[in-house]
Amino acid sequence: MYIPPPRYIDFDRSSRSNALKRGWDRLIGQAIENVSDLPRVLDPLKATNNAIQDSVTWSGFPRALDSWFDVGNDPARMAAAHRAAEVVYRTVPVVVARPDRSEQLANVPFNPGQNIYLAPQRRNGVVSANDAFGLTERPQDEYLEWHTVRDPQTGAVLRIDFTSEPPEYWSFLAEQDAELAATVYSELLDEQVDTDDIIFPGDVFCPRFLVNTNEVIYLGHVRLADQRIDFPARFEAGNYNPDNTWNTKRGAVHLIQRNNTLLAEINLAANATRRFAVRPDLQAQIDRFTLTACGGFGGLNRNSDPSIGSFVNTLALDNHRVMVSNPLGLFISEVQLGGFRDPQGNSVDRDEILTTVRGDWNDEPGRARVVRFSIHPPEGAGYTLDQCTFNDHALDTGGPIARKTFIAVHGIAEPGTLQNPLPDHPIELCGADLVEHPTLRPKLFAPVNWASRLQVGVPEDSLAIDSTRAMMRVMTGGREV
Amino acid sequence: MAKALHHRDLRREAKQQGEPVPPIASLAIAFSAQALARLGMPTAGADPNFDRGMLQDLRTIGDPLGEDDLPSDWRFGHTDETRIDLLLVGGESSEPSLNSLFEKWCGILSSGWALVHWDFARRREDDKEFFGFNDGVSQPGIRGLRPDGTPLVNRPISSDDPRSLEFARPGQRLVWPGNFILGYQREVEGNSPGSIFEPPQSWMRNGSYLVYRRLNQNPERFREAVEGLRAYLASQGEIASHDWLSARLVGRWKDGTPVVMSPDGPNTEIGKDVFRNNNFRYAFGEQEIKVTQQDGSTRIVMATPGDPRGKLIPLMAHIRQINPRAGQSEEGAEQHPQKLMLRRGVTFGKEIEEDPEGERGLIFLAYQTSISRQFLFVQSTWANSANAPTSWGPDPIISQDGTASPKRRIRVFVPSGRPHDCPFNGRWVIPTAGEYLFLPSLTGLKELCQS
Ligand code: HEM
Repeated sequence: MYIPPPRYIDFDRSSRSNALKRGWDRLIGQAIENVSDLPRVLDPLKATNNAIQDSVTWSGFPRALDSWFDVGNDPARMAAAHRAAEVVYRTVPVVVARPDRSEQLANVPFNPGQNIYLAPQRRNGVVSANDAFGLTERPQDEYLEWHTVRDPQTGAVLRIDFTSEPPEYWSFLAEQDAELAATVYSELLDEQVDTDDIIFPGDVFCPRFLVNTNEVIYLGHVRLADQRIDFPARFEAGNYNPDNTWNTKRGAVHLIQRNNTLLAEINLAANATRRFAVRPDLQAQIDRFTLTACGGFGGLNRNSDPSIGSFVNTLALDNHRVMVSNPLGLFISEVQLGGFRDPQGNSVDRDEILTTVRGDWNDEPGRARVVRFSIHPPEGAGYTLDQCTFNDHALDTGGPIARKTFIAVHGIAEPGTLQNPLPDHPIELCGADLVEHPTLRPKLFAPVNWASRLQVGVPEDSLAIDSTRAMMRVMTGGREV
Repeated sequence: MAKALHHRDLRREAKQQGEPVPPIASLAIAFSAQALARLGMPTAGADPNFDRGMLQDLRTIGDPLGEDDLPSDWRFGHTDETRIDLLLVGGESSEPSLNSLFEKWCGILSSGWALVHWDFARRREDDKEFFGFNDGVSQPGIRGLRPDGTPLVNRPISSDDPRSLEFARPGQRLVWPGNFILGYQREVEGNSPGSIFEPPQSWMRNGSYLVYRRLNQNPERFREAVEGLRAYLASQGEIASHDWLSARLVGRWKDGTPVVMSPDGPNTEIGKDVFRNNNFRYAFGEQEIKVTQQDGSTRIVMATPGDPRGKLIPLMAHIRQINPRAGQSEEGAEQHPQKLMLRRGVTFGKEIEEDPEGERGLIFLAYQTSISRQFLFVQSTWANSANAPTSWGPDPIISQDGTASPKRRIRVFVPSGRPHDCPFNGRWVIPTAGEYLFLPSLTGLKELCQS
């Protein structure tokens, strides 16, 4: 059976425990089934004793923010990145109607004053700005998200909660047993959370506007479920609301950044088993970003996806079928707290400031599977976290700790053998568009088939062509410069 | 720096031509933050770890702490009476002349300072540290030019090979000088230089932070542990020799041959060939490289295989754990060159046969411009960690976990070709003193003396 990331710590508390276990098994089983036609994807439940386990780890602070702020070695820029990581942004899909009767969706910043909000329909049929919410995201896209708990009066930092639980798990739990989900929410946040807070009482509605050349007219709210939006949630009565206030403004119970999903991880792992033209074998000198760009899987400016991708790809090219091992999840494998200093500048024992809330640092020998932990001052200490430092950064955000928090994907790989040989592993051309390489300068490069798509005549045997030159050719319409 | 390198070249040339080797007589003097404060030298803006001193970082570094949070194994450096203010590092070609050099200096300093400790360090045969491995094989190449316009370090790779932009000798990563010396452009991701690392105080220009660690080694305990590992694997049906295993723990055979190029045993032809013994990047193989030798002749350096999965050099092997090169890590390969330091290990103590009960080990000296991003990062984030740079376990040679008998689980590819997790508990490297110091330039030193 497929096991959920926190194992059965919640399911076992439900009166419908067995149904929950079977339901989760079906959910993941379906996801694996969907990718199983790729020749080097392994169904982890079918792994034999011959299979090996290995893990890939990355640091939990968003690489994208470090790039954006060009932090290099500059502490001030790094502090700016830490602050930016905690700016939650909210957007609302709105239906834009044109005078010619065409309609399209646009994503605009949440603004209830201008009628730009989502709201579930109440039992009496009303959609009200009193229930307004937006699609919320923390810009924390390395499969680790955190929430800084502040004193409402003083703003002092009381605690920082870190989580790597995927949204799918919580949607599943809440929709199967809302009472239990609300109870666990309450326990994790030490607050009173009701089922109504996390489950939509009615279908969710989004605004519709008529946009003329010189005016914008609000036409009322329409059902969001009828629109095709790219967000990992469902918006009908009885569905779980991942954007509920306890998972956004007032806490972090699970991942919510749109790319931080378990299904994304499974798809990424599956697609990374393919054999790409830029790296037909393990000797090709290709970095993880180029590989990711070529494979078209995952985000380029992240630590996580390119690391997972090149890890899986290495195993697949080395004659293995690969998948994430069961329980499938994203796990916190380590948090290094040696850089913590109290207001006097003294270091503190990790056990005094760390509470491991869900999961186990030694879940299996050598494999940590923690999904939630909190950092707080030692019990009875007369100070708050913002008075402390972490590796010489003020601890007024969770960023410095996220840098020293490592996330892992535990993989499982079944080697091909004489008795059980692997099917062919065809070379596939690259599937990416012109992309910006995160570290190479000049930064732009075009993976090979871009050039070939534009028919500039890249010979077949120069698959690992110099990427900048390929780009130049593309830019000059194929003429050599 | 240019002068020192020139002197080194002279010695090397003389050695190669069989002429008398010019004597080394050198003396470096480095200062702790407390000493500088006492001397009234301004240090505002200096590296914060340096300012606080090494004792404050021991929880991170992993040395076991006893009463009052003081390191239980340190012999000196941790109490008021034995605090390290100055570190003198002297070099002479013979023991008597070294002794007289030191006596002279201790005399000069005796007005204000008392001698805390003195170690006689020396190069053992074939530069072997006490576990028997040739040390000092791998060193970053510093970018930059000498006053006469020639590169600071030899750049033998032919300039039409793009790898000449990244490497000095094959596999020897070029690093911007601001990574080691204050006042120069520093290393950031990619090969282009970062901003200039301005010295926090003008007198600190051209200086460097020197990390000093006195690491006792217990060769017998290490031998027993490797023997235990051998027996453990044998009990699992995996037959590997003692030397085979210890080479997997370090990443090189005892003579310096990288395991990735010679999996079954040492090969002195590779181990002693400076064009080959660093020419590997783990993540992928290296194609042939054309190099120009000292005498002007050219030569083709053979291709080397990659080892992305750690089949030959396990991901936790000492040289891979503390420098993953282009291989896997939690930070990403593009960040690795920033972690490099200029490392100088010298052995201290007598041979076991001469003095079975005596102390012996390695004086670890490393020069850098950011303690937290270099030494401290490498020791704590990587060496001590079971999950970084990879999940293959902590460094089997130098990792510390705050206890006198660290528990480790390490992963090796066993002879039958599978990765295997093994216990590897115990401690054979015991830190017995240390400090963060600042090594000023000669000009800086003059300013310091004048004050
Ligand atoms: C008694 C303790 C130690 C012993 C016996 C030891 C031994 C060795 C040996 C045999 C090598 C291979 C030779 C070479 O590549 O130069 C090596 C390399 C190295 N060691 Fe150590 N070492 C010790 C402590 C340390 C410490 C404390 C650090 C840093 C925190 C360190 C960092 C390095 C680095 C950076 C390399 C070069 C790796 C490379 O670039 O491939 N070592 N060491």
